[in-house]
Amino acid sequence: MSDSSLNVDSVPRVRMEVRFRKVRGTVLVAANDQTLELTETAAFSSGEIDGVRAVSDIGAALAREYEIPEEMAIDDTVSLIADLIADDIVELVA
Amino acid sequence: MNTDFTYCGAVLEDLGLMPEGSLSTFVVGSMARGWASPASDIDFVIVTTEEFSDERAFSLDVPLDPPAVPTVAFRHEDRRWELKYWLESQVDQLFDKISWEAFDQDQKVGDRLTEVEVVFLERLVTCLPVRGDDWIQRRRDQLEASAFRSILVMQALTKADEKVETALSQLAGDDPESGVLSARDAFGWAMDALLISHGEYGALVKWRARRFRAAAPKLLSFEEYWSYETMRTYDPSKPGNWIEAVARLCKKVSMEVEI
Repeated sequence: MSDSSLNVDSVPRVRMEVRFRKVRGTVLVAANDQTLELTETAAFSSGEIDGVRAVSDIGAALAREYEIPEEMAIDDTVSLIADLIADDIVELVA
Repeated sequence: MNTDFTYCGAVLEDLGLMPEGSLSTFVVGSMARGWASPASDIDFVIVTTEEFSDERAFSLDVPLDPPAVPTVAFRHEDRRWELKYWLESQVDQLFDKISWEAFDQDQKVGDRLTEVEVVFLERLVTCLPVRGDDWIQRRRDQLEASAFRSILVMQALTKADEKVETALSQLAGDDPESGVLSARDAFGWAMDALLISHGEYGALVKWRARRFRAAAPKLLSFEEYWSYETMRTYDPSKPGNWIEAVARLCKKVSMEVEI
């Protein structure tokens, strides 16, 4: 499934070959011979990706955690998931 | 449980096994943790400034100078006692190996620590003193400030990742039984990373449940942990489901555990 079908009902999953490390407070993610540093909110959202919950659920969790409007959080989550798909870190299972 | 082992000092003196000028003597392992069974050994570490030599001693090899830890074992009052004699200078060298500087230069420094060295450091955290409490506290503080925990966590996470990749590769290669065994390995390493990150050291599988209860990590309840450990949700007709569940758990651990 490509990210062209990404929407708030999509269910993302972290690709199995991706490696995460939380080094002194910074979350690093390694995929395809590149290492990316996640922002605090991106790290939080990535931690909520479990292959079961939809993008809207992850956005709602982000809204609760950072006390921001849910609509904004879900929009941010859609953007993040699109980036993570483009970097081969996440794939959609539904 | 008896946690006062100070009487042991006199026993060791009577047997000629307590060198003069010892800096510290302490009980380590299951006895110190209160996890011992009636058949368990009582393990001691004695730290000295002069090399210990005795015809009753055998040597454990260590990559330090001098390259040996003299060890004496005997039975006393129906229990096996084992004594390891570490030199203060060997302990100094060991702490040099686990400095933040060493870790920052090479994050795989843990691969070069031997089991004897790691066990010595791990057990320092939970030992009970016979003599020399001040020495123990000073070294514990030094250990807490060192990169030891990060070194072991990094090593365990790397092993977990490698085993997950092997398990998934075996599953994809139509070898699910091997995949299940690799996934079990991956789970063990991931749990070690999680427990070590909470200061619960020790690699022996037999103590993992006790270590888990002691650490009580928020990431996973004991019931969830035990379900994986005992493979309660494993379905022989769908081994891939269990392998993938373990892989996801390992990923979750690697995202949450602080190095």
